[in-house]
Amino acid sequence: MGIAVLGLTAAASPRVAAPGPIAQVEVGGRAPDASFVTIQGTVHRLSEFRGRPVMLWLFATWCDTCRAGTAALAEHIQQLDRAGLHAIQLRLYGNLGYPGPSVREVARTDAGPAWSSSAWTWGEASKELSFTYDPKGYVDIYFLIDRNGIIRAIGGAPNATMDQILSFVQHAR
Amino acid sequence: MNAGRAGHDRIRTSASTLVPTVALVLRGQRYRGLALVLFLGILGFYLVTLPSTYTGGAVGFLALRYLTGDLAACSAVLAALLSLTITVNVYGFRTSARQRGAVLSVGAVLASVVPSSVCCTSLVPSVLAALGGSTVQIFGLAGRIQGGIARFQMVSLVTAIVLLLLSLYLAASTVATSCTLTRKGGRLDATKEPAQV
Repeated sequence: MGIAVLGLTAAASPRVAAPGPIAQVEVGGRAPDASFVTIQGTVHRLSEFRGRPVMLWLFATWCDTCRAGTAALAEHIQQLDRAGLHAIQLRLYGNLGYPGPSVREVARTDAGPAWSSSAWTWGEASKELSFTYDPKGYVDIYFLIDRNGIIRAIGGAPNATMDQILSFVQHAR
Repeated sequence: MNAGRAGHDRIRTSASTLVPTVALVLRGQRYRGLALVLFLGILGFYLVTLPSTYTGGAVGFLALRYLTGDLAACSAVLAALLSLTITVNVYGFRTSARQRGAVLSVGAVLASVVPSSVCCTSLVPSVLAALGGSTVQIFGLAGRIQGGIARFQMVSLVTAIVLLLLSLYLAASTVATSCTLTRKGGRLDATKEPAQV
């Protein structure tokens, strides 16, 4: 009888569309398009950067590894720029739930003069972008996306994995 | 009256016996060697582990690049205390003294390495996901946990040092009470010493 009640209840309930699955983000797959806001306040979409290799890096500003990685990226940004790479460094939605300095403060402090490089975009990831690319909430994760929008590598801690990034830009030429 | 004494004084167990007790233990050449080997090994471990908070948990020579003065000092203090605690406990074991402070030592080691191992790595989010957390829940909780750990890493290290001090004191007091420490002509002696190694 209990099962019958449940069955009738289900039949009487209005049908609710199940939420769409989060786009699969994996090596070899197409990088999903999503929006972000730069520290200058302009809204952009990842698809605007199609045609050149991109490093999409999601981080939290309270993360020591991220800040050390920022410094390491600053040391190599000219080299990466010459190879055609564009770095997009975005703070995760809500800073992953813990307060921290602003993106601009991290950029100026940890990247030094390199923060204003034309090959480096700073900003805030939208909720959609954060949940799509980082559904597990990793505090430090980057995606190396080729000219055609295909994800070629996923990593973290750029200061510890710079070889992977340099190898990517070499093969992306 | 003092001149009439043979120079033997009974030293009662107190905090002030910590240094003399450790000195007594380290009088043995083998125990000095043990303490030195432990110190160097543990120091090396901490030097490549503590800075891994800046490398996403990656330990090794890469982490050494991020070794700050604070972390180096903490590494040295932790290594010294832990090596002495273990050495004194080995000495006490050989005198069949009841071992004390082991839990504190384990707690101290955990308190010293957890921050660098957990913060800014995939450990916390992975655990939350394994527990069935949704993306929204993970986003709200993972940062609070890891951010808090990152913020209070130095507090955790100081706590570890305090725990090790307590552990060393417990080990030393156990040795001191299992042996009768006497002063003979300005030198400490234990009336019940373990056989030399």
